Amino acid sequence: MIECEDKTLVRQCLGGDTSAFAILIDRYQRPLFNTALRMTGDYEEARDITQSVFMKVYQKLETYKPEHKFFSWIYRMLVNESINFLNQRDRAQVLDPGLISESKTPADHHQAARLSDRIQDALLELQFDYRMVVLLRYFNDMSYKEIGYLISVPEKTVKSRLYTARRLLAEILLERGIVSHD
Amino acid sequence: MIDQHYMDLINRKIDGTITDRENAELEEYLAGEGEARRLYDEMERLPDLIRQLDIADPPRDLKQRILESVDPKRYKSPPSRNRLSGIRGIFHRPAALRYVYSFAAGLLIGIAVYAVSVDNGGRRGNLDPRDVSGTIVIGGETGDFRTADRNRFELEGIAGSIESAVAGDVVLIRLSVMSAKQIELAFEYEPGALNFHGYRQRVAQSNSLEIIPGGLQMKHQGENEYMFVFENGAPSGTTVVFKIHSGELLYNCRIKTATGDSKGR
Repeated sequence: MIECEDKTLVRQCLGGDTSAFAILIDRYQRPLFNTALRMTGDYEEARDITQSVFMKVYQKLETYKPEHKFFSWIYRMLVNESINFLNQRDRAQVLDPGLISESKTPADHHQAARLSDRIQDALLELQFDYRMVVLLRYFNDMSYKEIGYLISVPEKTVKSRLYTARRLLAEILLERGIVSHD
Repeated sequence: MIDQHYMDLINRKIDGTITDRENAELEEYLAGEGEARRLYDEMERLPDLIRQLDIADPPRDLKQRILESVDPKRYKSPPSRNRLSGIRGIFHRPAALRYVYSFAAGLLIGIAVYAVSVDNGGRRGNLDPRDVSGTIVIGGETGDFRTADRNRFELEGIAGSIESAVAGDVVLIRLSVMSAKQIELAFEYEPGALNFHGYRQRVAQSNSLEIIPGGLQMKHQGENEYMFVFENGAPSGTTVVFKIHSGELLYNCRIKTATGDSKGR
């Protein structure tokens, strides 16, 4: 079995090979779904966003420019799609308790999930712009430059948003007592 | 309320861009400001906290839902008229292409013969065609013969494709390449995981094939097709890295040689 680079798979998709697209889904559905989940705090909505992103990726495959990383290209779509979804509804709701990974039992997660949920709750209190940079930076381990490309703002804006987001999030966590000894 | 100047220093310290002098200034400030210290501590551990967020499994039906929601014919290449016309068409192609197809067909027959006839301690003598892993697909929607794992590459002045087939412990790698300039082709694998048995080329030419520990390399220029034959040394298969160099690395892809259930992905 040959593991192809993303760009090769894209070329194969454009040549009519749908199985190449299935490989791209396998490769990216998990990180995209999880990012959407953390941005929205809603399992169903994250699923819809991820599905919608892949549909758009497929429809716009011809416009993909190989000089960009495919990974960045689809994340950019994810960011835009998340904004669209959140604009349609007020998403200031708390995290769905059913969010925990299906592969683990509630008992396995009891301690960790509590903290995870509380962090997620705190994240959802941030404005979307701030939440997004925090997640892309720390949850997805992206550089300022990559984030700038994804959200179409200069690197210095990313940095200043992240500075503010960090302060706000730390204040929320302190206010709620989710401190280092938690 | 923390002064903006110190807030900037805190952020730069977290980003690792603070100077020694600024760091000393910040430490002195934090030592005397309990509230600022607590906020700094909290901001510093944010990356770790965010990384503690659970990784959720996507819904099991997500992939299926996506595939059902896209139009599989959107990028469909024009189909052949029918199976026979596709094959007949080969004989109406330019002479050079006819040779290519003849070579490929001969090669496929050669693969089968090689796989079932070569004896190596009695192991391949027991080769059952049912053991052949699903890399060769015959009769797709367009009626063409093709290899599912074919990977095409198009670089500046270089084009071609590489595909693999695994039958029992026989690994075949077919490489078709066209290059105006001289390039170096290399296969790399864990020493002992694969044993190189030989190769054939469509057009006989000297290419300085060299077998080195954990791989082989050769020079190439012009247009040619090669079939490399290996024996899987590891029962669970291994990974071969195929590379094209020309002073620098131009292309690489990984080929998994596992069969059946042990196949990757």
